[in-house]
Amino acid sequence: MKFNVTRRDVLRFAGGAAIGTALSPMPWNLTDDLAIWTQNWSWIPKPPKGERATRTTVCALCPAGCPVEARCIGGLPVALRAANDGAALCPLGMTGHHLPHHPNRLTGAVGITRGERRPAAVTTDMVVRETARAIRSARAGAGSVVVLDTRPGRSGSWAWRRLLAGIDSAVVAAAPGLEGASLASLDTMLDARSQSFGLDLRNARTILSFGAPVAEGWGQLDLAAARESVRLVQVEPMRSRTAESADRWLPARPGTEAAVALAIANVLLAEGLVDTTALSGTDEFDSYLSVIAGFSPDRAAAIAGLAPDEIFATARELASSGPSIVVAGEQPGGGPLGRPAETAIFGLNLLLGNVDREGGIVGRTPLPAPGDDAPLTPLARLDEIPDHSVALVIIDASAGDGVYPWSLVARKLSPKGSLVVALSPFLSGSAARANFAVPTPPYLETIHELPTSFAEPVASIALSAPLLPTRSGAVDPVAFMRSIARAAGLDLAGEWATTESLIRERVARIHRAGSGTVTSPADGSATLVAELSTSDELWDALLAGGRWSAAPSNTMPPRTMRITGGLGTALGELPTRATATPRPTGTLTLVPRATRDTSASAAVSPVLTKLYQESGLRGSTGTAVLNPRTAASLGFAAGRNVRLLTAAGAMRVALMLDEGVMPGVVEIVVAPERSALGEKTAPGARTVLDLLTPGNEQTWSAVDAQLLEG
Amino acid sequence: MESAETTRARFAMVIDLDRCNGCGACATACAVENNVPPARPSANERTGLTWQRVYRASNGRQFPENRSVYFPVSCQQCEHPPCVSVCPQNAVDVSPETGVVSQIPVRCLGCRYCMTACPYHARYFNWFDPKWPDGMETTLNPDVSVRMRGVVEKCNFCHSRWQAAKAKAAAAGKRDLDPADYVPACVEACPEKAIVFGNLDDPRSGVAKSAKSANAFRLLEKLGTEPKVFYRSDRAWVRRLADADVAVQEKEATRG
Repeated sequence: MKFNVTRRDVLRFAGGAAIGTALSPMPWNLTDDLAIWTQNWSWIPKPPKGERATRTTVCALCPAGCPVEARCIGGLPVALRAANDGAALCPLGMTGHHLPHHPNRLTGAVGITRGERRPAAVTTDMVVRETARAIRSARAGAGSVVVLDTRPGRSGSWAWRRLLAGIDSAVVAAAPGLEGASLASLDTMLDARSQSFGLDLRNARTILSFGAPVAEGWGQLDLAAARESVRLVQVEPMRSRTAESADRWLPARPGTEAAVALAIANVLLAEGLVDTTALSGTDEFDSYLSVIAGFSPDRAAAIAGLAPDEIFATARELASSGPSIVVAGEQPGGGPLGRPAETAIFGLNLLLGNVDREGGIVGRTPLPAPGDDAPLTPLARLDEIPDHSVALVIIDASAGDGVYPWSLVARKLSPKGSLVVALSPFLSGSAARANFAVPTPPYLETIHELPTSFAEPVASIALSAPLLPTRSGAVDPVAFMRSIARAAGLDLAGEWATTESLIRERVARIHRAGSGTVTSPADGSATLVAELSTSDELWDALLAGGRWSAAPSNTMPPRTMRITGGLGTALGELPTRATATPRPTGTLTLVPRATRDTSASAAVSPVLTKLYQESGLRGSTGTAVLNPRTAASLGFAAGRNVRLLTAAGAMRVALMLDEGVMPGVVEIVVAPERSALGEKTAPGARTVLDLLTPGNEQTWSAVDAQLLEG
Repeated sequence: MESAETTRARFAMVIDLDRCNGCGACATACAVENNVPPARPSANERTGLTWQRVYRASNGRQFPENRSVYFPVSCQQCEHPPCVSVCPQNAVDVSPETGVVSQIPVRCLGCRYCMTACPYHARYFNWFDPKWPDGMETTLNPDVSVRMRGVVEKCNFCHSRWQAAKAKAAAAGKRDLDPADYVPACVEACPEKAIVFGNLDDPRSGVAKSAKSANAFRLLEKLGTEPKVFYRSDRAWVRRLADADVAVQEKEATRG
């Protein structure tokens, strides 16, 4: 048989094959495989695999110390959430497990030169030598030594005081603008003796807050949970989240908070709403009465731009809906209100009898110190240190950071020569302004201590347990202190060599005292410390996420109350100052605006670009927000780039309009800098905070500014 | 993965706008849970990836009577999703088991018709290869695969959590999921407890009751898309915003 293959046969075969292939699953499988293949490029990150486990720790990114449950894969945390039922973490806390991998994490000590894009790698030994040299120079009279502590109250804070005890000119100061710093005003108003003061916000029925971000977790108050039982009155120029959440918002002009407080006192006294028996008969109270006589509700309302009825209503509510508490807060990014304003505000508590009672201001005994009773360097406020007098500044930002204008520190430095050394896990925030930065382990890589938060009514402590091994190159702050002591010939007695051993000493002392309870994060159950046989048991309970709280004190010492905080009639001078000085036409009041959560950390997760860059929710740093009517009067439109001018300099900013901004005010967004979000930038770059020149009261919450074309 | 024939459901959420204070915890939790990468330096509000985005709108009155409201907006999980019919790749799928509108990245060719069709601006295009800083890939959620450049992505009510809850129910020999086992990340993260989630078909569920309350509403209801994301507010001016495009309103109000 003859078998001829014609061209037609070939074409028919090819056509049939093509149709058959098309009708088979093969091309679709191929397409699918191709799609899957393109999803698996080598550079597409692969989620980790491994055994799943849940571990508990405590968030150390702000002083609140929220218990955290970490979901781990192969021992590495992949998700964090609140360990307490019904609680939630803030965006910073939720992304805390990203921070050990932050692009601007320090991997070794660096030397920073202004204007240089990249810092130079140095050795830790070299930083120790330079620091020791600066200490020796200071002892020889070249200037003073200041340790700037961004998380006061830790065992590490105590160790700095112990280290520098032999240097006459040395002090340890809290970094400016830290949360709760305003409560220091109470030390001069109340006879503190060996106590500090906390706020019993949870038991208050009415809270009058002057700028404190109460709805954002300030004072560890869960306002959402307490909403049914607490009324909140917020005095604040900005329409913040707290102002929006308040039952009554009094939008007082920036810098006029004290006038409002004194006018409320005026109403309380004029209407006989308070019992002043405990205060009357002293020179202090006579001065106070003469001050508040000058602040009638009508006058204060005119100063603050409020309706007098609002002041009357607030005063009556405070007196009738007790227990009430009046708090002065630090504006996130905007710092404190200043001592006179804080005194005027806290003075209302003295009038209302809110001291040492449930729902008011309560004295508390401090946490036991981790070491013996050896001499300690005194504590000081930064503003008490003379300008141009400091030869060495050591910034301990190992446990957190603060948001403040660098000029507050720079003005203290001696022109004859000074050194700034920072301990920080990241090359951002305070560390980026130093001459040398030494890397310390970040959150989740070492034990961090969460001592009593400013608002707590009793002393407490929690420990943030590490979930990751410490990366090589990180330096333990206490080991660094030991090195300095050796190099500078300072006496640093004690067995402790690391932060962990120092904290263990403190925990052992708490155990020896045998009082208080440890609360479990899982079920809220409390165990008496007296029932724990060894300090190791207490240590383990704390490392498992527990919090030790001292037993509440039922007996308070009788107090001498100084309602003007020693300021006398000078208390009344501040509120008029803001409005008395003539200002050039077109001058605006510059008010910095930040959110509380990200203000406590030098670095934040790059994922928070969702809030700061990829959506308009929080705005990127340096955005200026203006009321549309103010913008129209200045001839500016939304979206324009303009020059923002203050006494400290100028900066180009993008303009946004918002009817929620007070006319005559320009709000400036103080968001995490690009370096804090993970972008590689030159260290120490100028920031919006550099435009804010702190005034005499070390406040930068309201600064004169102008907006110019170009 | 174990599978089981679970009871059909119509998952939905009700967001209480009177509780939401715009903290952004929901948006952050969503990004962490679903392995949404951080922004490139050049990314902006138009090119960013935010499965859950919180918009701010105001009552339009002058200071100090001006008040604002925060609208967390994610995929509205429409009953009649316009994104499904326009997709040439069948890359958008409505699950008959859950009612959730899913995006299937392996099928997506990146034409972005669905983004054009979506009236809620709830779909996002991957302009860049997903990239995390070195070492941060060890923090990714192993239950969610990373999407590549060139595809559209969006909220799927945390599908991986539904899968896990389904597996758990199957292991226990149950057909019904325990509501406590299936909670999307944004619901879990909200500190104000402003988001209620559950099965709309279950009349006993909180979400079914809240969705029927007098002050509940849906966005752009006039379009007939029948979203399964409800909002509620006691404030009349907030409810009136339901028919406005909140994304455009915010942009026009603040940026001109």
